[in-house]
Amino acid sequence: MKKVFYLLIALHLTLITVVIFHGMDRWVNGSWLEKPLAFLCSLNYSVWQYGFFSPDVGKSTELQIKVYQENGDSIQYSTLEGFRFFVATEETNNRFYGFKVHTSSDTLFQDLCARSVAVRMLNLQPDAWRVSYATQSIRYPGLVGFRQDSAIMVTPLYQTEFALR
Amino acid sequence: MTTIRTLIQRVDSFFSTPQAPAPLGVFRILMAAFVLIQAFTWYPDWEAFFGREGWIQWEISRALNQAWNIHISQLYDWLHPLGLSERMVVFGHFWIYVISAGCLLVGWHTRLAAIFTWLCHLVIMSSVPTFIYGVDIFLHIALFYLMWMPVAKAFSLDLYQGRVTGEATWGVTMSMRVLQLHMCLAYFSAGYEKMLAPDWWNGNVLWRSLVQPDFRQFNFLWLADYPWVVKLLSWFTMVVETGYCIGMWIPRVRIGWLAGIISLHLGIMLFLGLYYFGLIMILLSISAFGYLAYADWQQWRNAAATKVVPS
Repeated sequence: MKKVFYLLIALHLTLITVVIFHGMDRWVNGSWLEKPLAFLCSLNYSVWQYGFFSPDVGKSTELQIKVYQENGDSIQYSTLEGFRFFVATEETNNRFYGFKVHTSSDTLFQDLCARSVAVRMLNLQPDAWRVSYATQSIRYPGLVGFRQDSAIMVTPLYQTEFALR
Repeated sequence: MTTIRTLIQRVDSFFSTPQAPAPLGVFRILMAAFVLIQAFTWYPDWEAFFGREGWIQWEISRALNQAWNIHISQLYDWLHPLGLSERMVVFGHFWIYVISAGCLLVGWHTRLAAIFTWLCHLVIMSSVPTFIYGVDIFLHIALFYLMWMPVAKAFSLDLYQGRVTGEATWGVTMSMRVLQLHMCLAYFSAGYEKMLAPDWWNGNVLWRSLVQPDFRQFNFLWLADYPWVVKLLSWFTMVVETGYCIGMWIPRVRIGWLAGIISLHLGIMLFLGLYYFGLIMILLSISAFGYLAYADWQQWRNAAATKVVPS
């Protein structure tokens, strides 16, 4: 019994070690091992790299949603002011950071997210008839750049609009 | 040959010299309490995240899943024939999660409670894949371990009611070692990845994290006039994370290292607003190495007391 546990633990810890040193990168994407590893990862995240905050933190993706009412008014929501307009706590607000990173990853996903968010906005506001959804990438200057008054670089990423007929 | 045999004996002794199960009991209680706190914080927004017409609709979040993931809509498909509405399934899932975590906390039918808590958490991870981050990943890892480890052997109703014994076993030691080594690997990876990025060496990552809207809690723009402060904090982060796998194994040094890692995560909580991420990392480090640090501290105190007693 003990030997079986030794074997399982050795496999488990070896897998974690190999993965964090990028030893399995080519197996994780596109090989026959991709699905078994993804399955294992969904159970215990042993196929995971823990480099939190090591990637490019200085670039953020921000969402801007504009809801148009029947009476001609419009309300603008922007994640630049924190995505706090429909979440109750700071913790759920934090979850939108991951959401923004995911949405900036591919156009198809952006289409789907935009559709989903527009439906939710229209459901929440019965007088609304049109929703515009835009994402932009914002690059903040580093320490040296900030002292030299470098500008914050804003790049439009995606824009779409939904309207009720 | 003798050297190899000695090495094997040492490894075996490291992994399986029986030790008391109290640290595993503490691990179970801390993680279950964390699940409950996080769940109740999430409750007001639960439907906005998990409902059919939530931030990401079921059809879309389900399409992002692999075949084996259990999405909340799948639960609805299974339970709908019994007459349950979408809302009942969404909140039923919440309450099963909370009740099983409650059972895990008090150690009542602990193994079953751990399996249900992990399963409910798996549904969470599968249903809102776009909204999960570090805190969920570490919680999932912990819940996976709680299913397998003998965590009911201390501070539990199972022990009180005689369903398990509280004796020291090799299983307890092996479980603690796995948790400790996993933490060491996770921190080493986090520190090592940071060291590969030049922006961590010059302090830019920390600076941007403190000032960009995603994480900004206070106005830290004044730090631009004192770049050495940001650089020092960046280097402290890299040293504490990368050196965790060494510092935590050296008696007495680990007290300082544990204090260092706790202050790092307190900083993340206070200055970046990632309260739950910071908290779970502190709790995991305390679970893995807290009892050793506590033993070091007691030993150090006893030694100090012996010194002042006149002979």
